[in-house]
Formats: sequence, structure tokens, C-alpha cells
Amino acid sequence: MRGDKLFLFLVSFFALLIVLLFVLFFHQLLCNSIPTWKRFGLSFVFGKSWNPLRNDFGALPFLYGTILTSTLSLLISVVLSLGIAVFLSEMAPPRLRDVLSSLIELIAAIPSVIIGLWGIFYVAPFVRDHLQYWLEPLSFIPLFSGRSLTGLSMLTAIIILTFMITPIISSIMKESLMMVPEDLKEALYSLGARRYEVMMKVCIPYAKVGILGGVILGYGRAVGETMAVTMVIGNSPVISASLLSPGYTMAAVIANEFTEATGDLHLSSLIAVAFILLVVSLSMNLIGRVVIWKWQKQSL
Amino acid sequence: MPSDEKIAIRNLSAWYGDFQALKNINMVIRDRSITAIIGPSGCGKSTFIRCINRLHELKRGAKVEGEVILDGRDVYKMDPVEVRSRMGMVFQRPNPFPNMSIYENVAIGLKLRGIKDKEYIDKVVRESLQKAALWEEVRDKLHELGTNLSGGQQQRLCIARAIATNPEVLLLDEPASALDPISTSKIEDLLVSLKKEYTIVIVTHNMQQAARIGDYTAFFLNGELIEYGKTTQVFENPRDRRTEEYITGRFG
Amino acid sequence: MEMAKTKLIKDKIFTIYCFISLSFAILPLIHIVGTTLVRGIKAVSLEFFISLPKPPGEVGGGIANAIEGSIILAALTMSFSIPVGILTAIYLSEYQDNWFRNLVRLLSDTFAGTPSIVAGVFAYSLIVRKFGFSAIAGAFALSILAIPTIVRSSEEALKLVPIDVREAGLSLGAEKWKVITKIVIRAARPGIITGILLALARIMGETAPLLFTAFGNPEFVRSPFEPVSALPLVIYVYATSPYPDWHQKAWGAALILMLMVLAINLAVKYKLRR
Repeated sequence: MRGDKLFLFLVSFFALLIVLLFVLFFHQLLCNSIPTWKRFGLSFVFGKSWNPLRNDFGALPFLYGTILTSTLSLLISVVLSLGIAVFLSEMAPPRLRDVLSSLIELIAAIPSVIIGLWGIFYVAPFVRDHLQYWLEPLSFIPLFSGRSLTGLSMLTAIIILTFMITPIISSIMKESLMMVPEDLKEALYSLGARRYEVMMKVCIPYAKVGILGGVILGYGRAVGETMAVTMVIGNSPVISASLLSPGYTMAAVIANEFTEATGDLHLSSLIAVAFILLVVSLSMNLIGRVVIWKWQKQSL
Repeated sequence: MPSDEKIAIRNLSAWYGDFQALKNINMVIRDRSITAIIGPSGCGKSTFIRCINRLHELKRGAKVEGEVILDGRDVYKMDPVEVRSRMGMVFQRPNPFPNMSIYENVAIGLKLRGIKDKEYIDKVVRESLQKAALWEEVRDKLHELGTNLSGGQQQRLCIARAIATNPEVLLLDEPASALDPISTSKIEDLLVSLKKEYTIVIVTHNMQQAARIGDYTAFFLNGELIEYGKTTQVFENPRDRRTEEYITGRFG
Repeated sequence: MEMAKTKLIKDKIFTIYCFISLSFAILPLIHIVGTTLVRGIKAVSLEFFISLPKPPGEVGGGIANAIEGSIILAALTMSFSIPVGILTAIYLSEYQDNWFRNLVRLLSDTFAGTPSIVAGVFAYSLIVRKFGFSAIAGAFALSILAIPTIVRSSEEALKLVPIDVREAGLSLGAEKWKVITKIVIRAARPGIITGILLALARIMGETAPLLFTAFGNPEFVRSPFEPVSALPLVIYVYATSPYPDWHQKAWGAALILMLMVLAINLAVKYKLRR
């Protein structure tokens, strides 16, 4: 029996390690960002200017960039993911569904830095040389005004981000849709309804909780995405209404400035940004998982 | 204790949380014989044999009272690991250890005891498979996965696994209920041949099986032991009305 | 009749929309894989694999330092994450649930959602501040990402092992810990290995946590306490540099990385299908 007690002690120790690491995680981030909180207080979160040379730090440009790029890419991705999910769950024969699902999952497996590489050499030039001209008729809307010289802009980041979060959102949507009971659909079809009607009237409402969970999780992923975004967004801490101007996200500024931080306040401010980023993306993650858990309970 | 008594069960009661699965069981298991436990579903038969090798107490909310005397010592006062090492168990669904070969399945009991002598292990594996009437069918594929065998073969593999560690008692919980009739009769023949060496307790929902191979039969109902005696007596001359009703198929 | 016709048109439009959505996902994927192959091949040569980089601006050299670094980081990360992950998974699956176990599970899953760059910041404040840039710091940051994956997949694999396998093991007269380590783990082995491989594929592609932990190194390293390079790091640095030669090398490194990651993922899928 002694062997059993020792073994339990061993595995408990490692489990405890995880709890400790988590506590340490928050602790380190908070403590090392204290200089910033002391200096600016909570107004750091809404501070508009980020100027390392003048020791003036505010996180708003990055919050703005993160939220704008994540939200817009989420909206586009939801539209795309829905189409993909419907196709895979309703229109594709099982073999094709498996192949296509695997392909889409493969997108999520591609390292973010490789997508960023592709973004720099293909998507940014595409935006610079073509897309921004196609959008010219809409330039009366502030969102599409202005011009990008390099193609490194928030619009490019949004395109990349959309592509990267579509796999997770579409796969959860697909699973949710596949859980709709066959007889519900059949009832409507037998009344002469068309596929889009069955989708809109029955399937999507039925699966809406699961779909919502997937969306929230996808949003959490978008918020935390670092490399691909930082390689194409232009990295300029300016709050601009136009998508064609460069921007900055919380993850990107940490990636760019951390190793060259000029002074303690700069570093502590970056760590403060990291803390904010952690809180935002963990909350999204938690909320998403609670929603999905509720969906799983509902479908039992 | 009479010399042919292997196990004496005294005032054995068992609970799952608030539900009492066994109520004050008193009986004996005789040495080197087959004792069959029969009764309708939920009567406590499986709980009963799991109380003998102290598996029941590992379940959540489980409680046991009473004594199970093995060769004069109460198993509940012994180290449970030692108790289990003197017994072997075969389960309702054949369950060879996944991802292990036939050889490894039989050998694992020995290896877990620290036995390292390869020649000895080879010998025991061969003998166990022979006793389980499986050797001829698997001698050329000892290194194939245990789960690749048919249902009946898997169950005989589980029997070989149980006897490899040289137990004194073999507990079988409806070992043939998931098998086809041919495999079932192979296992029944096997058990009859094994009773020369082992004390066998077999839970079965199949009365004909009990009548065929049991030397003694115990009839359980709602957690109580209704009747126990020589199989011929229980089946031909039941003392309790309920026994007679069960045997003639009026319920169960 | 009019309404039926409108409905038919709407349905067709809907179908077309689904197709287009699908192509917006699949076509870029093909383009990315294709361009990485085409442009990466041009960079690959024997020199590419075995030589160290030349100073910025000079043509030639290779990324041997990054290949070595990636291997070192993977080895360090896995040797820490696998034991922690599997033992924690055993703790969660083989013993009865209580509030602490649920807490551990929740925290592990929450760790899984942390942005990789923040894991890097954590490793920086814990290790780099005191000991400087090193492979160990990088491996620590990567472990924060790998451990939750391994815990989750191992716990699932363990839970899939039926209860009567454990009962059969115990009934042989073995102690619980032996049943767990010799029988249950063995039974769950395929699922556990799958989880480990997926975690490996993930961390090999991570860049952000390494930016200020492993930091990068143009030389070969001799100890894990030195800063170290990695494939994703050189892709990032070279791609954002102004030198065309480095751009080409970035594609080459991307090709190697992509092939490795895709190979692991495909191997896992193939294994799961059996």
C-alpha cells in the first residue's frame, strides 16, 4: 500500500505544480507591471498616446487595434464559416466532408509565422496594388478612406485573421449543425421547404448555442494571435478610422518592442499590456467554454 | 472449520451508498468444487463475488460488513492486495488488456509480482494457455494482440491470465453470457476440468449452466441468500417456494 | 408560382454562397502550401542545412543554427511537459473527482487558451530576468502551451479505457499504482502518443514565446543555458528584414517547418483512422 500512497503523492505534486504555475503567472504579470499602474493608474487602459521616448504610455491604441481587427475579422469569418459549415454538414457526401474538414483543420495547423510570411509577400501587395483600388468607390466611408503605401495595414491583418480563425469557428458550427435531429429537418423538407429555409428556420436556431460558443472561442483566438498580425499590420500606434492605415495590436506591440524596451517604465507598460491581453483572451475563452458546456448539456 | 471448506461467508452485508445490495449472507464455498450463484438481475450475485476478492469496496460509496474467511483468516483483516493475489477473476465481457499481446496478457500477472526469469514465465504462459484449452490455437501467434482473438478465445485468454498467477480461488462473473453457444460449452468443459485444481465460484444467469456444471448452487433474491445446497438437491427438491418459482421460470 | 420561383432562386444563391465560402478557405490554403513549396525549394540546398548564417546583408550561409535550436527546444520542452502532463492526467482520471481536481482541470484548460506571447512574457519575468536568454527559458514558455494539450488528450485517452480493465488488473493482485502504470497507460498508449505528437507539432511552429526567451543565436549552442535559435524565429526575422537573400531563406525555413508540422499532423490523422 505504501507504493500507492507514494504514487498518489507524486501525481498530486505535479497537479499542484500546475495550480502554482497559474498563480505565479498572474502574480508575475501583475507585480512586474506595477510601476505602470502606479504611474498611470487605470487610465493607462484608456491612454491614447504611446511614446517611449517621452515615457508616456497608454494602451488604447492597442486595445483599439486588437478589438477592431478581431471584431471585423470575426464578423467576416462568421459569414464564411456558416457557409462552410452548412456545406459540410448538409451538402457534402460523407467522404468529401471528411476530406474537406481535414483540409480546413490543416489551416489551423499551419504555424502563424508562415501565414505571416505569406501575408507579407502576397496579401499585403495584393491589398496595396489591387484591393485598395477596388475599394475606392467606398472611400467616402471613413473605414475605407486613405491609401496604403506598403499594403501593411489593418485591412491586411483582418484578411489574415479571418483566414486563421475560420477553421475553429466553422468546425464548431459544423458539429452544432450536425447535431440537429434528422426528423426535424425531414418534417420541414416534406412540407416542400427549400434547403436555405430549413437552414434558416430550423437548423441554425436549434444550433445557435453551440454556434455562439464557437464564435466566442474564435474571438478569443483572434485576440491572442500574434505573429501573423504583427507581420502585416504595419505596427504603428496610431488610432485611425481607416482600415488602410497601419495599426497595432496588444500582442504585436509586445512582440515588437519587448527586446528593445527603453527603460523600466517601458518594459513594465508592455507587461501591463500583456496582463490586459491575458485577461481579455482568458475571459473570452472561459465564456466560450461555459457556453459550449451549456450547449452540450442541452443536447443530451 | 471442516476440511473441505475453502471460504466461509458470515453475516456478509454490502451497500452501494444507501442501497443495501447484500443482506446478511451466510454460506460456505467448498474446496475444489464449482459453486454456482444464480438469481434474477439485480439480486446481488455480482456484488457477492466482488466482496470475496474485495473489489466491491473500491466503488464509490461502497460499504461492507461481516466476514469472509479464507482458510481460516478473514480477508477483511488482510491486505487486500494479498487477498486478490490468491484469487483470480474473470469478467462478463472478455477484457484482455488492450495493446498487449497474448503472451503479455498471460505474463503480466507474474511480471507485476517481480518475477523476471524468462524461462519460468514462458513455462507458466504455456501451461496456463494449455489449461485454458487455448494453447493449440495461439501457440504460433503469441505476439499478436490479445484483442485480435474471437470472443470465445478472448475469454479463455482471460481465464489463462487469471490462473497464471496460481490462485487458489477462481471467481467468474457470468463468463459466458457474451458468448455464442459453442464457446459457452467450451468454457463450461474447461471449468469442469479446472475444478480439480481450483475452487471455483461462478455467477450465472443461466440456470441450465448451473445445473450442468455446478456441484453446489446458491440462489440469491433481492440481496438475500434464499437457498444453498448441492445442485441436484436445489434443482430437484428446492426447500423454498421462491427457489422453485425461479427454477420453473415463473419469474426472473 | 411566383413565390416558388423566388424560393428556387434564393436557394440557388444560398448554395452558391456556401461554395464561395468554402473556396475562400480552401483556395488560400492551397496557395500558401503551394508558394511555400515553390519558393522554399529554391532556397534549399546542402549548404542551407548545414551551415551557419552569414552576417546580415551577405549572401550565402544556411540555417543550421535554427535547425539545431528547434531540436533542442523541442527536446527540452517535451522532456518537461510529457511527465508533468501525463502524471497530471493520471491524477485527474484515476482518482475520484473532488473540488481540487476540478480546479486543476479548469486551470489547465484555461492555460490552453493563453496567448502564446503572454506565455513568453511569463517565462521572461520568471527566468530571463535572473538568468538571461536561454533555451531553458524558451522551453519553459513552450511548456506552458504544451502541458495543457498533453493533459487534456491524455486524460481523455485514460478515461476511454474501460473500468473492467482496471478491475481485471486489480483482481490479479496488483497494487493500484502498478495497474495504472503497467496496464492502464499501456491501454491508453495510442491516445497519449497522439496528444504528445500534436503538442509537438504545435510548439515547433510557435514564434512569439521565443522572441524574448530563446531570443535567437547565429551560432551553434553548447549548453541549454545559452540563447538559441529556432526555425520560426528565423522565418520571422528574415521575412521582416530588408535582404532578399534572407527572404529566400525564410521561405526555405518555412518549407522545412511546414513539412515537419504537416507530417506530424498527417501521421496522427492516419493513426486515428485505424
